[in-house]
Amino acid sequence: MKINVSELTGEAAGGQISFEPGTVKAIQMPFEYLSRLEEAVDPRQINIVRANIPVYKRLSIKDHISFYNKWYSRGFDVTDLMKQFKLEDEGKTKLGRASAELNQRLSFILGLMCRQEHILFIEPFFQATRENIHLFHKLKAQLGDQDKSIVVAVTKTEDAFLVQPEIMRLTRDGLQSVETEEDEKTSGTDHISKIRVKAEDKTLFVNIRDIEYIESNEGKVFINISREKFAMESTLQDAEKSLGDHGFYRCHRSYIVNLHKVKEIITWSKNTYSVVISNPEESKIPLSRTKYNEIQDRLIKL
Amino acid sequence: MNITRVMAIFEKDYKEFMRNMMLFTSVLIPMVLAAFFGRMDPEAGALPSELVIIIVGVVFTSVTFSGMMTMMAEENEKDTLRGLLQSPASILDLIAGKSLVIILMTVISLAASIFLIESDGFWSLENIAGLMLLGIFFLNLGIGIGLLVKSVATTSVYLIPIMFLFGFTPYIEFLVTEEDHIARQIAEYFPLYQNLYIYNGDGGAAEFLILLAWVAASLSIVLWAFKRRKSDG
Repeated sequence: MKINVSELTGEAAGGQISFEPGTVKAIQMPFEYLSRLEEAVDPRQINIVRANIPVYKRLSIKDHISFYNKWYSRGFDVTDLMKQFKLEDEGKTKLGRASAELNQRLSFILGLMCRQEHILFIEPFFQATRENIHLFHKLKAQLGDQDKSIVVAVTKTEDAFLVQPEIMRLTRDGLQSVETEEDEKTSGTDHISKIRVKAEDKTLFVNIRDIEYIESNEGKVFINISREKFAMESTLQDAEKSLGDHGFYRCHRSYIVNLHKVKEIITWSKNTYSVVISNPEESKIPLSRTKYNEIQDRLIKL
Repeated sequence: MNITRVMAIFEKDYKEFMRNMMLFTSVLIPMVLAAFFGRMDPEAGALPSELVIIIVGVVFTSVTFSGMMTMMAEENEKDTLRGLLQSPASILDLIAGKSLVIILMTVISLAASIFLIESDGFWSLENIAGLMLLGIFFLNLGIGIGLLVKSVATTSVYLIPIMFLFGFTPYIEFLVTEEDHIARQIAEYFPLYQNLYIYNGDGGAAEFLILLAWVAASLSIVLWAFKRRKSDG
């Protein structure tokens, strides 16, 4: 099963999104490509797991799961399945009234039960609860055991890194893998308290202790400060050099995190980690496997 | 046809039917009407057979036809079928499962209504055969239109004319009093009139043939609807 990239971008640049048995692909792409992808796939061959799946509103969650279990002739133990996906107390909840979180769990179960060989996840982490991200990883492992092919399409790079360390990016130039190997370590000595950023026509100076994290995206460097993103005229290396002594840490090839803002570290699977920022949306920043121990040392000694 | 899938749909739609007020009350409406008709004017003797047959017409339009159409329309509207129908055969399983629910509800509604209207000699073999043909006709009509309508709201556009034309056909005797009027002559070829003749004991081969012709016509509507839906993608 392959989807031509040119169908989604409308550009000549070739390449295909291919569904290969037993593999997982995490692809970051702009929103418009994502919606075109959702339109382009044939639901008879690819099961789409997305938010807000259509449900029979009058049925309870348990009725739903039993129905699909029978329809797909799957011999799953429904009670066991509900326990696995943390639905044991919600069996009687009518789906018309179920929260987005429960709807997503149901979509995960349907993804597990479906007969299609290919699974396409659309934005599985958009407004997803932490429990559901854990359940996603559980599902990913189970689908791998069934030898299904998985493609996860997201708009945010951080979300792609929540799937696995190797990610791809779809732009008008086609589909490319994103480099993730580590650079050599750098460290700086200068003491600074503010950093210069650009916002449209203005130049702002932000306190470095307000910065939550710095990311590099398609060659540009952005500073994230409480829901706002500013472009920075510097490379990530230079930023690391000048901020390294101020409690900033390069936790991933494309991310620098302010250790003072780190709330916790989550392990999703054996090589997928996140650093959670203490802000209202609990931004999840990818953490390289090789930095997993070092960041903990740095946090302790901070 | 896959029996497991048919039964899965039957079970799911039975639960949905019982929890859907609109569908559930449609089973009760003919019963209320029957109770009302059965208790009026006790001195006048036996109830006119037209009224009994109109109750039959109400059962078949409001339960069989409307129920089937609404259930199909709901699936179309909520897009719940996406991904469920992976092979062309699975739509047949779906229709079979839904039909079983509708047949069950029709039988319950009809039996209760006839009991309440206190009609003797209704359950003769001839009459049952005629009712089965009439039931298939309305079920096909519901499937055909249900395949095409995109939302539950549009179903009422079809329900009212079908109900008046095919469900209340004998009412024409109140509207058009002139016995040889062309409208009445045409109405006598409508399916419900055949059941009226059969119920009155005047049913012969002709009545059954006319009913069979209506069944054939309704079947071609279903086939046409399938083709339309396929070409729509």
